[in-house]
Amino acid sequence: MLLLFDPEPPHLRWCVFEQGAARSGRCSFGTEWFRMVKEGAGSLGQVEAVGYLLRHGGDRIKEPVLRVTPQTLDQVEDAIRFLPEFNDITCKVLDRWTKELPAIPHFLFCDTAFFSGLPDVAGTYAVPEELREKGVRRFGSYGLVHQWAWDKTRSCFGENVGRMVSVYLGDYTNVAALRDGKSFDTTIGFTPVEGIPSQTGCGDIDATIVFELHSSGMSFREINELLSRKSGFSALLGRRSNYSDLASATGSVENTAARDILIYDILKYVGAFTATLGGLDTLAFATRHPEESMSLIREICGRLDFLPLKLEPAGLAAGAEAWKLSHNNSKINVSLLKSDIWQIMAHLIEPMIEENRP
Amino acid sequence: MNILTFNCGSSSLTFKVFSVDQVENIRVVLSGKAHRVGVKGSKPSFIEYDRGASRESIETPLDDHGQAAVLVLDKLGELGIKLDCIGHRWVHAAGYFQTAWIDNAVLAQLKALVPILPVHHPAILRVIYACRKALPALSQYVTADGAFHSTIPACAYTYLLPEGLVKKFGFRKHGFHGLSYRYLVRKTAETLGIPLAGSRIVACHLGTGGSSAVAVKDGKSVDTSMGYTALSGLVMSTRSGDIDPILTLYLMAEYGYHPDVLMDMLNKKSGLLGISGFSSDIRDIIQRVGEDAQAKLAFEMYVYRLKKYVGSYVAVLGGVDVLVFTDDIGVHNWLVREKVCQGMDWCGVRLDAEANQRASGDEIARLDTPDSKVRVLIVPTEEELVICWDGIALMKGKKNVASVRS
Repeated sequence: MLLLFDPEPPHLRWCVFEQGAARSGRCSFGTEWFRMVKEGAGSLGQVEAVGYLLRHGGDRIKEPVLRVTPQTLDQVEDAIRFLPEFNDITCKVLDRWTKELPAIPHFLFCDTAFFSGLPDVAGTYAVPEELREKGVRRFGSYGLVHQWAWDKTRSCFGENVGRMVSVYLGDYTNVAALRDGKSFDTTIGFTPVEGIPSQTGCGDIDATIVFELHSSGMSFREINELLSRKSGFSALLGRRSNYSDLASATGSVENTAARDILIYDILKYVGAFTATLGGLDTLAFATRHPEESMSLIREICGRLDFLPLKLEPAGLAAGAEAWKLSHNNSKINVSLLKSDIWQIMAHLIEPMIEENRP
Repeated sequence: MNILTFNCGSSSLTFKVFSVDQVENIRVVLSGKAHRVGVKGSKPSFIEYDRGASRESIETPLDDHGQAAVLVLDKLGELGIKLDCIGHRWVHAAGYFQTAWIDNAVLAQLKALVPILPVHHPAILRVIYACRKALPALSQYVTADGAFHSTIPACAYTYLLPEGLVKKFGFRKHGFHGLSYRYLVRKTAETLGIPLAGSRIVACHLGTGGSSAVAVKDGKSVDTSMGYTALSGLVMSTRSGDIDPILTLYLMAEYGYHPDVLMDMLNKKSGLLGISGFSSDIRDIIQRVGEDAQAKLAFEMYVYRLKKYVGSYVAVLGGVDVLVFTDDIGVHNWLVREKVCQGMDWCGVRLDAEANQRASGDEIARLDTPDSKVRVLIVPTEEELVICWDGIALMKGKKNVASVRS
């Protein structure tokens, strides 16, 4: 039995993972979070290991999975400044549960690690050395999902994955370019605010806007809050939105406008990465909601038919977790993968526990 | 009628005197360019004058654009060239005007637009003031560069910020180099003999100061790499191009950078200069690519980020028919074009390597191979001619007003 955590500000998602099955819940990350997780998770006598997702590893944590040691908390604390709203949750949860269950192994999952090997040309910002040496670079994130998407695509559809663009569809939609299984580029920058807008994050904007907001009297903290938590698709829709609002093709005028932006931004980045990869062999979509995403995927692929890329008209076969969407004549392979962060984390932990089992 | 046009680049000042006759035939009387204005590099600054039959190049210190403009006006005086008006390319008008005579009201608007573009706008104002001082009786006008991008759809121009702030500040993608793209699109269609309807053009305006790319459908701009200001998009000479907005907050909050200092660094000390650490001039950088890792990275990033934009515009256009390069780097730097077109077979681009290296850059040239699906063109831009077109229209209006009054 594993106990797993994933920060999703202002919430904490947790999961009890046992024999391939995940039982998960979500609680708001306030003063009562610990009690709520304990109540929700039930008996924890059988827990063999605890896992924590760290959305941003900062400039020091570069392994995708790390066995927690007494130094780990310091490292996580040091990384808080890179993505405070997410990392602060992971840090507190890690601190509390390592104390609660000191006898079993704890693992930290770093979502930026996969991108620590980005080529300099993609990972560097065109700013002076003085700023670059302060840790300013493209860190990416959602590396666990993209690396998994590569492995999964390869195991399902053969070795010939080649140059791949991996699209994660969800509340934090982002796109990564992979070459030979290694990270090549990503839409996420220094933080997940850059790139494609999220439900509350603004996505790509002109950085001059930060300075104008500051001269209008806003503090750095307020601007950060504004760009990360009060912008994005929720700002466009004027209410708290989620991925389903955008995935559905039959929404209000506002929903359609939001969906148009999402599709447009994904297209832009698929094109950008196809160019930098020098062509495309595989386009992979990974999402928690495969059925719901199909109309969105069909629209995106329809607009990429010039590549050339062609989808099978058939729907998704029931019961599967990975689907080949492309037509046999399509030059580019298109796959759809049902991604589940709990499965991905458990899959990575299990061999490490096996080593420890007597 | 003689019209003098000024066009400020970040580190250059281009000027032209057009003579327009009764039937609006336009002839260039004199043209030229002040180079390396305010640039700290290994080579000296200079002004080129071209009168068709005679050319000269004068080395002179050029600390700012106003100083360069005064030297040009002195030269016109020496040559006995009389002027009827002076037109300026204004970069970012935020919708205030498309073209307008500069009176006190317009001047106040121009001053209010300085913070939006802290490198370009003060330079243009210096030129305007220098002309006012030297020739107080002469009419001057501004032509806004951004009008070409007014056709960009909402999905491309919208920043997903709270509606109240968007309304209050006018935050959205504006885009720049509109005059250049206006010229380019027209010339591309003329040169290839293709109708604009149904055409898909990706154009790259690669200047010694600012650079941008544009996606053009049916002759209309549908997306462009510069944004609310000229800071976003491609890696430029001294501008960073796209960066994570949170990164700026991180540097100010964690390391105490003053906003003005950081803003200045992103605009004037980043881009090619920021990566290479020694020059904002891509020619200097290319010379040292073999021996200097930072120079190599600067050149590769310049090409890489341009390639990303070309690829993204090909995707949103659903394919591409013509790829056009313009402005100093675009027409004169064959290596940049070669690298950008490398590995672009996926969208049908095949560059004729020899034609690419051979192109003089002084005239329109086709660079694609016979089997290339995409036409690749060099089109030296003529922003000044577009400014002149707008000046002719303004002068007509002035005559009409005068005749109504009499």
